[in-house]
Amino acid sequence: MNRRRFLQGIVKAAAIPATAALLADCGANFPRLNVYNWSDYVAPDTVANFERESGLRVRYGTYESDQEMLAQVLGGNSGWDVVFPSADFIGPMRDLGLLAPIRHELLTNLGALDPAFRQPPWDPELQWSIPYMYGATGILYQENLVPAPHAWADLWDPRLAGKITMLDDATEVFGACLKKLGYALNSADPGELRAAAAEAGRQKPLLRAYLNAEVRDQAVAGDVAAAQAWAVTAAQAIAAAPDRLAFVYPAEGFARFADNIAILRESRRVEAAHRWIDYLLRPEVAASIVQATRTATCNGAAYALLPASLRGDAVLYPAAEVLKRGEWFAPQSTASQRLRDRLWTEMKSA
Amino acid sequence: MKRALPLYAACAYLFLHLPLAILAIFSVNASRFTVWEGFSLRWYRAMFADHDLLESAGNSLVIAVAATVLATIVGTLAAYALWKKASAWLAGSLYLSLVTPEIVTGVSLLAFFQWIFRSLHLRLGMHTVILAHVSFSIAYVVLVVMARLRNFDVSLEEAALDLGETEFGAFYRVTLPYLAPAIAAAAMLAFTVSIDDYVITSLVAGVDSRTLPMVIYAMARRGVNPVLNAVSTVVVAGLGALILISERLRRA
Repeated sequence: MNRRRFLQGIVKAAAIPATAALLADCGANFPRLNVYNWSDYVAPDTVANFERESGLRVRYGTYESDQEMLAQVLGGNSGWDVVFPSADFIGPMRDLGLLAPIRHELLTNLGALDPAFRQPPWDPELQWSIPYMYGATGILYQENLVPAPHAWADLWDPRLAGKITMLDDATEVFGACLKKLGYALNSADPGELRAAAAEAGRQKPLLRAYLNAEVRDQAVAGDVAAAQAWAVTAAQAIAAAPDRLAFVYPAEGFARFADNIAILRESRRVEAAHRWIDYLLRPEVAASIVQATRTATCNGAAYALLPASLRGDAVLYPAAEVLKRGEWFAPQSTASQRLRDRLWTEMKSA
Repeated sequence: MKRALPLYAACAYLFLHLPLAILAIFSVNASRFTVWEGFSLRWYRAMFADHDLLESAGNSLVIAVAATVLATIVGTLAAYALWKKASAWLAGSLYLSLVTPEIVTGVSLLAFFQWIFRSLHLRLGMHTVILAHVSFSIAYVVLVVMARLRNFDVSLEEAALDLGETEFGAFYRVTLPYLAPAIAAAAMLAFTVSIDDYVITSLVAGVDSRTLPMVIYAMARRGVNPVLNAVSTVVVAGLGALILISERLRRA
């Protein structure tokens, strides 16, 4: 045994796991697509059917918040092809150069979109995004609560201390506080924002946690009495516990959101991504997703295919008078966003 | 005082093991919730049916084995070098990587990879996770092997040199066999640390290289799921066995 043979031995020993790892990585380069979506936003067989039909292998990952998705995607090197940002993230992501333009000639089912979403305010020509699902934020609560909550102010009730949750999202929480104080949802006024942050700070000791879709199981289990929740989460929770939970759109006003499909500029599989979008736009596919996940689809043709019980669901498809109280989120100016971020950090770490 | 000591020891061990014991008990519970409804292995069956979970477990194992082999080799050689020529700066910088918070290490590695990948057109993947794990495991290996080296009499190596061995031969035939138990124990430690790591891995993992802790965390965020109990029981049992073997080797 001499040094040369020893070093050769070491290199051989180290080479085996290294090649194994590299092979494992290379095995991932068959015709495929990497899709990063919100959790519970497709039916159990949607991805499998697409794989069977198109011959592509789909890597399907899920996230719980726009910020989580943006953190992965911001580096420009995340490996994802298709993501589902909310409407107020489309503008900033486009400005950051993260999105690839959508080629309408590759989408045969574009006409299935509901007319209300063909020219949305955040992307009037649908150049960067295709609307997927929409919803609103309201209050999910236990039906045995007396009196039943009907406004944001009811989430500041000290009797419910320890059983209230709010969304873990600065725009949503400040949105609720701003509406509670009677201001506009997208207010950029520093005085109004500070007042809203003060309200959130007053509420914080009463809260159980800041939770997004994770609140669903806790509400079903009865641990949470009232929660600020997305209508989709609420619909899923109510489906799991129909006689115990209810949802209300607050009287002072509420936020409306829409999640869109977008292709990342870093993606090298743009044609495959368009095939996935076209597949999701198919009315039968969108209808099956809605029936499995209880979401509100932007696909008008799919809405027509739904059973009457879902079409009339007041949680997912509220009446027009209710929707009038809602406002769409709009992207903030840099100064306003910076103030909001700072107030949120200060409030959460206080 | 003498009577209180066994009671104190019992309480300490209970505090350590009761949560895991409850986890294991409810992993064979037929009900979804924490109400005992009968013995059932359905959650273990569900665990083996979950493709995502099994794939991430496979990824974790591949990454752990690769990182362990590389970290043990590099760490042992580093420990030997530091023992031969003690340098406070070099040793201190190695231990610095031990005490740095994981989030700091993770973010710095991510920034480093992104900077390099911009020019090399690579992606985050298994190779980045393995590199990250090697980088923080080296310090653990150095620690363990150095401890053993401190008890090594350098005159044994010098005797081998006097008897006509080359420097390298002396290392290979005298020091290395002496270090073998420490190297094995260090390898076990590096393996455990690599399987266990969440913070750094979640930052540098790519699309295809999700590890077991990442999948478990994603499942736990979505609510109560006894499949988590089953996974945790299996992982704890496996790691417990590894630790037992490591202890036997260390004392050998």
